[in-house]
Amino acid sequence: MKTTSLITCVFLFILLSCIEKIELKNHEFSTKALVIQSKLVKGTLNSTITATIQRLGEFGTNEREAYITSAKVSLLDANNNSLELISAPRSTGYELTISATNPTLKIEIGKSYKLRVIMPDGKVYFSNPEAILPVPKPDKIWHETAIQKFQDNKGVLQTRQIIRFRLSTSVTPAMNLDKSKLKWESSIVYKITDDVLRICYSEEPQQPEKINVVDPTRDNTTRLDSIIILETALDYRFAEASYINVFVESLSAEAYEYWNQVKLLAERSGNMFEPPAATIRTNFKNPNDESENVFGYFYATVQDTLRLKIDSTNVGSIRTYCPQPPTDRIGLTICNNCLLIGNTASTTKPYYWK
Amino acid sequence: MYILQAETLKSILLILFFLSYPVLDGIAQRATENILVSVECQQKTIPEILFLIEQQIKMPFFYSVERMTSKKLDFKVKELNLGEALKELFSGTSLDYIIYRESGIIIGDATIIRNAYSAEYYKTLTVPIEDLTFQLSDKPIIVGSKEKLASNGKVILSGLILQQKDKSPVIGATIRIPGSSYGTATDEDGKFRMEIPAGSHNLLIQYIGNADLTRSILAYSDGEIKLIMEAETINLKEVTIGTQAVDANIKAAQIGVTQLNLKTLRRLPVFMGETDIVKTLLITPGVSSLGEGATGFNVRGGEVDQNLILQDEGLIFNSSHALGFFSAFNADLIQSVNLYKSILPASFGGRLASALDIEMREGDYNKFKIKSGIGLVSGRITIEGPLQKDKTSIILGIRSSYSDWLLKQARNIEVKNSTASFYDANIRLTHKFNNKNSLSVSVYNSYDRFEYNKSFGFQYNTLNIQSIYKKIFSSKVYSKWIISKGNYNSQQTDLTGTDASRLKNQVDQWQFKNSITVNQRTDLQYQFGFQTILYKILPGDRSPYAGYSNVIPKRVENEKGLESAVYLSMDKSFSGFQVNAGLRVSHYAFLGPKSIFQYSSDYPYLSKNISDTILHSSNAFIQSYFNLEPRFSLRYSINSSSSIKAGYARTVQYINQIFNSDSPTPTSQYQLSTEYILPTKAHNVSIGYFKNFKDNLWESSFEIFGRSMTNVLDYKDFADLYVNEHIETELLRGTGRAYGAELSIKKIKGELNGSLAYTLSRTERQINGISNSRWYPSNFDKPHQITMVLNHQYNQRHSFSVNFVYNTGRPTTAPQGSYRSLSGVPIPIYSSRNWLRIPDYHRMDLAYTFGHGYKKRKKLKTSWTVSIYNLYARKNAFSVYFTQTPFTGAQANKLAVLGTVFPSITLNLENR
Repeated sequence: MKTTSLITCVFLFILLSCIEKIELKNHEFSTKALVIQSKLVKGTLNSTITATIQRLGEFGTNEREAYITSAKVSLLDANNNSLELISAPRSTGYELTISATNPTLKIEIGKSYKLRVIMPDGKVYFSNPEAILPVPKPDKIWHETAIQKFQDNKGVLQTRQIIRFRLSTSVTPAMNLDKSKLKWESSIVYKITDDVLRICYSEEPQQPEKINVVDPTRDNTTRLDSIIILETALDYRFAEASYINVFVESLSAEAYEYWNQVKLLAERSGNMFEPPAATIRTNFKNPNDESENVFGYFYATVQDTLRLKIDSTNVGSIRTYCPQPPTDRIGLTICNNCLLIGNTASTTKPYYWK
Repeated sequence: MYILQAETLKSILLILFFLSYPVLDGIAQRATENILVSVECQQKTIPEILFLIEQQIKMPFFYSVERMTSKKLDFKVKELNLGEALKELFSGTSLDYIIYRESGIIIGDATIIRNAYSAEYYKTLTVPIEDLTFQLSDKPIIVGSKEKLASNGKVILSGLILQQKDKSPVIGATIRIPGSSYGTATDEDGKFRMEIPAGSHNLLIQYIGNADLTRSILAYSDGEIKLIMEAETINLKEVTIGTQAVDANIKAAQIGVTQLNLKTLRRLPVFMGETDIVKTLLITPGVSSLGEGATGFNVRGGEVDQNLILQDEGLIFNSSHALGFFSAFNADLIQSVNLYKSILPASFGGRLASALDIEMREGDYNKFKIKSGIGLVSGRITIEGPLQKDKTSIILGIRSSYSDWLLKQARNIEVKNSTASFYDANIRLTHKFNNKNSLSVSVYNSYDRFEYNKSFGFQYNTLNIQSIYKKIFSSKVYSKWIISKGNYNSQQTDLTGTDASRLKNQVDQWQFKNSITVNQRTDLQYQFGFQTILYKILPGDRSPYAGYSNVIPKRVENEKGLESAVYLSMDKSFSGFQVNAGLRVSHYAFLGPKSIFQYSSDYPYLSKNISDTILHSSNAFIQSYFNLEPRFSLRYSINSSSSIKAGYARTVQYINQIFNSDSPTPTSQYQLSTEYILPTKAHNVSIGYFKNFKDNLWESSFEIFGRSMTNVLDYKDFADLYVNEHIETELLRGTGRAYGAELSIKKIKGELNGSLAYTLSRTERQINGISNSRWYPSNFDKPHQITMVLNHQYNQRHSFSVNFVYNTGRPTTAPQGSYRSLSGVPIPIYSSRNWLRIPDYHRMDLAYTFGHGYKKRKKLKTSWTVSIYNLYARKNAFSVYFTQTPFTGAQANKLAVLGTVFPSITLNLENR
């Protein structure tokens, strides 16, 4: 017994001593470099473009660099027709809704667009042109439930019920078209009724840190069948009713590379066998000084949205969030007012909710 | 005055006369003219008169009493020169004299003295060559026969040095004649050959771990001897690490060779009690690794896959167990370990940086023995013995780990859920058909399994089978023929999540090799041979691991390549120089069947530029490369204790390991040269000064090396290397350079011995597309390395060792800034490749060995080794990684694979 205890102590000592925070010095470039990010989404009727401009933040600090809202940001097409984005008061960036009938600049599939940024000091930055490519319409989305084993914080093996969403889709938008590089995001919108019978709808982006991209052009893949797009706990969010929204985007080869690099960086865990990181690509540059470090990315896409409703008829009876057992807690709780769930909570039913 | 037997006298006379002939007349004349003697006596015998003369001339007389007359003489000379005096003394007798090297006067029959060249006369003195095999004896060994004396007074002495214990050949033992420049070393079969003057000599044979052996020989003509060396019984002169045998460091022509002393490996501090060949190499100059947990080792800035690793001539593709914590070689079964750094002899090829040649030993031919060791996490057992006494032997060694029980003790659930184990087994069967023919068959099998927290794991396995046939054609010509088959396969498994997958890689190789050595003369040796290796590689086969995995099954076509070479080398000695010059001519063919992508634009290849695919049929020559690889080593002896050496080697590599992690993993794929991935080539140069002090008690050396490389491969940023059928699109090629210096000093013998070494080593690359095409340090660039080893051998029972290692931290790529995506994902901005360095590495280890009692009758020999690895619990960084999650801060962390002190104890058992 003594031996076992001793060995255990030794191992604990080992484990505790394996990782420690350090500081690395010798900066290669200034953290004052500019970061420009922008996304153009073509819609059926209206298209939207958003953009933000910041200075590069110091790695290792919590503080975010302030957004720069005094620049002139414009969207340009291949013929250099341009539309200037608007910086709303107290907003963090720039945005513009472009109608399908806009006489200056039309947002069309197959066309390329670029962003121009003129800073208050006169410096000009351009992005490379980004093409809007068609997106294949997913065939279907469905769910399944399963029991999953996991370890709790004490290392004890527990089980929990999960819900898994799968998707099948072709990777070609239409016959005779090239395969698309895809990116998708998902969110769950769920209904919650509080103790005063107020009904709220709250949207929860799913695993925003997880970037889902796929490049079917690398091999002979023609379809993505039964791919898992989300796995989450089957909990109160599914007790009353909920929707899973899947937003599928098509990406250009360059945009795919960028997002794939973001994915690789985001997934790094410190494992000694994983590939080393590298400087992420950018498609911005200062044409007057190409050696200037500029970061960020502008991409253009068309989005297809897939939704699936889940309620008790699909997953059986699940305990609702409210009412909660009485507690000594002072102040309002979600069960007092379901709007406290978060910024996205609303009593307005989403337009697609049936 | 020395009284000799008649036969012996004749022999000595002949030899001495023969040796001295060119100068004899002159010396004799000078001696007899310059030395004046005065003697006046009556009725004395010749010996009595010689005694009186001897008192005056201070030179001894040598003669046979039987040849002396008993007649008494009256003899009177006054200040007469010695020659005249002796002539007068011997007048009327059959006696005559010669003066030998002004240090003695030999008196004998005038016929012998004056007709020393008459071989016919000495016919009766012939000693049959077949009788010239001697065991340890006090008598001088007679070599050759007098009638075969060559007119130049030289004889070629050949021989075989064996270990007393198991009659195995002693490789690298030095044979020399103290006080002269004559000397050589035994080859891989324990044989040696050297030209010496005919006559009487004392041979000094030395080998690390064995008692010095001194034997007198009387060499008439060419002949062979066989000598047995004993292990040192009271081992007060233990050596910790040695480069070859005593003074071989200054005598051998080859530069940059490290030979491990296996006997003392076990006294070095070790990790978890397991004696480790690779870790021992890491404390020699010019050899480093990325750190604990890293697979393989780096030589003079070379990459892990640039080392040719041979175990009993079989190719080893992974030299590590347990992801680098242990080496794949069982030290109990090893005969010799030689590491050739940069300057490879012509017989080695296919790799740029080094050749690690490990030879397994043969089993004992006389009796069965068992040796074992039990440590905290691993155990080993070796059984050896004769299947047919003196004819056939077998040796079997097995090692296995049992670390899981220890992991289960941990409270950390991730460690508790992890498993790690390995085993390896070697077996070697050797049969001697006769004195000139032997055949050995050896099999090596190793298996590793590692699984971390049921989330990911590795499995890898090596199976090598080789057959070595050795044939001695004559005393001058011997040969070695090798056929081998090897398989290395690895598997990486992601066990959880939607990426759960299994990735398999495999390398199969078939090898045929032969080498023929011709000892043309003592000072001239040739070696030539042929080698061909057929590689068949599975670059990647990925399949989903679980039913809920999104992974799409994919397999990359097999690759096949045939690497062949012929080589010739010559070793020549002349007036202080020794030259080893060779040429290796290599040819490589990338073979079908294979689908080859065609690109619409030239290098760099992009997947979007694939325009066509050409299918090549089976065994079609898709691409061939032909290379001339000259090799050259030169040694110039400044004097008996110092030399200068220089070397040059052109090396070419046709198979590379492709990886883009900090350290190659067991599943990093091997990639053959193709029409797009060109063979990597290097020019290697090295020059060094070697100096020994105090009769080879201290060895010092200073070497400078340089390597220039072309077609060096590195990966593009964010390369996707797994299961990629057009992997050339993820790779970039450019040039590389490595350069540095190694300074080393060692005390070889004595109660306190050890070594201190400093290595300066830089290795850099310049590749278009990486780091703005600037020179950047490679992953293995560790500019400064200091190693120190001290061994205190109190007595036979107790020894204490300490070693210290310091390395500059290796380069890393680190984030310099960050921003968040529009959806809040933190995106770090990394520096150019390898812009920063992780913290420096240093570590001190201790080991204390006790046991091995004096009682030789005791049947079971036991010893204990207590080791403390990482004495001061330094948290040496293996890598640096960065954590940052949405809406939280980011930080740099260093990952120390072994972050604390690791004590261990091992019990070693051996029957006598």
